[in-house]
Amino acid sequence: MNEPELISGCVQGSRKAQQFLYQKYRGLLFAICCRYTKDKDEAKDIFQEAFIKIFENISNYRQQGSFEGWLKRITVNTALNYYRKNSKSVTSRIDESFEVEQDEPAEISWIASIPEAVLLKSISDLPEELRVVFNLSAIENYSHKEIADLLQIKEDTSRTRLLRARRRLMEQLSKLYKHQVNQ
Amino acid sequence: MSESKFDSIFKTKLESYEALPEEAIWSSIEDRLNKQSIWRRYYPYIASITLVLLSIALWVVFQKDASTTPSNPIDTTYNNSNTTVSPSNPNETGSTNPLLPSSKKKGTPTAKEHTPSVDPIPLTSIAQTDSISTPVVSTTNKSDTSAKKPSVVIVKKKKPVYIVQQDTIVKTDTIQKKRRDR
Repeated sequence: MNEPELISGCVQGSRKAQQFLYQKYRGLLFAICCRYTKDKDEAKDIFQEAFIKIFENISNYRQQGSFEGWLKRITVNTALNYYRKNSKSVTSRIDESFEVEQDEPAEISWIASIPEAVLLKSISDLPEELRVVFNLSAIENYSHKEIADLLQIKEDTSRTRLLRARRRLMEQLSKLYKHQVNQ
Repeated sequence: MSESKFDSIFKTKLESYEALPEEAIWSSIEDRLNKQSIWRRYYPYIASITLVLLSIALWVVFQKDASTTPSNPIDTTYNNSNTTVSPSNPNETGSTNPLLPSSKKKGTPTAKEHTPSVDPIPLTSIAQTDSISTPVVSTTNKSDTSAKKPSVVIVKKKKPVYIVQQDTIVKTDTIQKKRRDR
């Protein structure tokens, strides 16, 4: 079943086509959900919600961009909605004062040898505010203005959170792979 | 820290990374899809049934309103007579305040208004015919009714009622006589 057939099958409500689409993209979309959440239970909730949205809105897909990009965007938006809901009840525990960018370490190529699962886990372990900004900025390539608009924060706050996220990730990974850092 | 280097490592490694979810998740997604599809399938039927039921209910309410509104004037006069006067028992007429003062003033229109409650049979017969029911209201309000022709017919209908009124007058007269005797 090719992509247009798959999409038209899902538009018609074919359960077979829906299952096929799920099987094809579940790994990719679940990884995105894991990146935006602290644990797998939260990731599962977002993942389910994202797939329901995908099946509900698949008739609105206009075949202009890539289908995979469209699926990713829905998943990221679902994760952001989840974050917005939760962040209303939980007050920020992070000092939002502006942080000056520090000098970069000379060698960071050792990070490239770290398994993806470990990198994913290190992002999940970040505080929620830092995690969301790092994902949007570093992986989804959102600008600080876009992030500020999405999360209803200042652009400076977005920059500060990104710097802190990087530093924390660096600390975590350095502890885990100290021997590689020293070499 | 180099923004492009650090971020790009994460981006290249995690952008297309896949993490497999549990198998059970699909069944829960499928359950939700089934519920939605059932609702979508029966939604037009449910909507049309509720629309029909609503229109029937509205029609019934409208019909009730239409049937009750014309009979209102007669009902009110009948109810007024019931609440103000209970002439079947003479003792009660003495006990109720509205009758005694009205009986003292002889020939007042208020006395005539109370009379129809004495005999409900002529009233119901009047209520059945619309042509007679409207003049009844007009005659009870006015004291001089004999001048108009339609009122003559009504006087005939009210005759037995008038006798009852006379009874009450007589009774009040006897009370007055007794008082005078004392």
